[in-house]
Amino acid sequence: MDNQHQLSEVSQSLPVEIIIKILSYVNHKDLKTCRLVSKQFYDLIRTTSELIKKLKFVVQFSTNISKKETWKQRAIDINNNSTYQVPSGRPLYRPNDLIGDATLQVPQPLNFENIKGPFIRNIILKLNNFDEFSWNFMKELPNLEDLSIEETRHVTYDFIPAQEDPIDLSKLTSLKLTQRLLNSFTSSTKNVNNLKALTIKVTSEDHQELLTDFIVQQDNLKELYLNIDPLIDSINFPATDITSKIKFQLTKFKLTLSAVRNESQHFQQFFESQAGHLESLKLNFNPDDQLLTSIFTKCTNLKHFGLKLSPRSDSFSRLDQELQMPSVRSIKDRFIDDQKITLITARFPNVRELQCGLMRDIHGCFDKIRKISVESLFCHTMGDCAFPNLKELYINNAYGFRDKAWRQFHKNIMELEQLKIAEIC
Amino acid sequence: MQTIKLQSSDNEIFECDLAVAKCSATIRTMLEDLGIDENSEDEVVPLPNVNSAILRKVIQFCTYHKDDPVPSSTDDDENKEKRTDDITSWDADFLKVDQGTLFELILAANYLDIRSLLDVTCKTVANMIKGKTPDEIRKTFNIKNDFTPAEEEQVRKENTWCEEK
Repeated sequence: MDNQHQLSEVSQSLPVEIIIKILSYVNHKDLKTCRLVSKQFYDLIRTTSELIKKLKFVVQFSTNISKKETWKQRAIDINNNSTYQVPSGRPLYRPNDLIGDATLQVPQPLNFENIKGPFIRNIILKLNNFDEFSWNFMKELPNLEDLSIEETRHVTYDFIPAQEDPIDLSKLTSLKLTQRLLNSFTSSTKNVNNLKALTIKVTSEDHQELLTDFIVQQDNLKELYLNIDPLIDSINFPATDITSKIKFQLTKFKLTLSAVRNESQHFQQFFESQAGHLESLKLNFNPDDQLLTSIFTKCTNLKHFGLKLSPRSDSFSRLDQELQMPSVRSIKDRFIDDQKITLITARFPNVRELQCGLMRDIHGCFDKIRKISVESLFCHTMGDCAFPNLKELYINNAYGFRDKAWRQFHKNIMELEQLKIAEIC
Repeated sequence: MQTIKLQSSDNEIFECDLAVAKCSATIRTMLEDLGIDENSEDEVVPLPNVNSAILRKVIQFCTYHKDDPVPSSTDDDENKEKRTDDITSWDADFLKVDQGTLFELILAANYLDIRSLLDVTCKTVANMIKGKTPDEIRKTFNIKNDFTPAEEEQVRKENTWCEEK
């Protein structure tokens, strides 16, 4: 009894910072349980950004759902309770629920006006069968840091014009948006100039200059992803010469161009102005000779290079024989065979890591490679190659796994510490 | 070897190595800033917030760890996933104590500002939370449930909106 009394005195006198420190060691699942312990614990977790971030509250909306039950249930939740405050998050579905098209017409898709969430930092919004769409849903989200809006190309909406005052989104550091929403987004919001990461999906040819202007304003931008829809005929980025106006220094740049060319005469200048800071570059098209030379001569700090060369691509053969990129540590390509790996090891002498879609027919010895992640590996064609220092090997689909060539290959990887195979085909 | 005398809240005097005592940033500050003479024979450092049983444990911990490298203060654990499975077996044995003692050790480590002891004791408590129900956690911390059933239901609902890992 006495002992019990003492214990309660001690534990209740634990200072708040100690409780926070203890909770900072608690994992995601147990932290959820801790929210139920008492009001003090609940409030501590709610108000400590390190802890609430760990819980990953995510808000997701969509009308594109297949599980009617779930939708109805949750839609009622929202619509019957108009003053309900979303304290921290409200995914209306799990991503796995998103199969097929909407079969349920929801009255006035979502009452966005009701969403209030001082703790909401992250919103994923999937626009699908909306009749109209208003940005007003963001006006009670003062701490929004990460906004992602995806839409289907063919659907059109009536945009409800922004309220009188543009919404202040000064805390936003990460934005994912489609280009055609950019016009209404920029006119409905203010202070969006502190982005660190920007992803733009270009689904239309409108507002190309707006896009350029919007990017130029982001003085602290580190990561830029331009994802250009294959059906777009031409993209003009940057629309004007912006090299003298840019204050940001990108460390990550990803450009998805597919089959079409970038029409902008200013692109090369823009690229060269950023090249020196880039640590990660992903291109999913064959760069022309000029761009490829720029990459090799200007991207001196590049560590990760994602390519999508076609197997017979000869852009490299036209490149100056002497040019190498010693800084590059990891390469991603969709297809790696004997020819490609020879090229990679010649041009990128310090590559430690390979990621690829398909790997087959490798010959020779590659002692610098430490890690390989491959979607499909043709094990039976790997018999006479060696990776003597390979430490990690991750295979999604292993073909010809029972072939004796694979056993030979396996014998050659002496240093292997991690081997994961998802499926043996 | 230079020694120093420490006085617990219940007036017991402990003589220990100066290097051991200096594991405590609080004692270091006392010695350096408050002008307590390290060389004086009779000088005693009073520690009114620590009783003798706990002080004995703390000295035992610091004696074992006195030669450990000092962890860099510019901790980069901001982005690092915090681990609780890296407690050494000596520390684990040392912390096989009743819960009251464990909490008192935390308070002492906090007061004496001994980073390594505070880390390992907090990790131990975090491990005690692992896999428990809210009610079991309440018992561990001796906390009353001050939610109404409706409020508790509300928090449970919120938890379902939290992304699964």
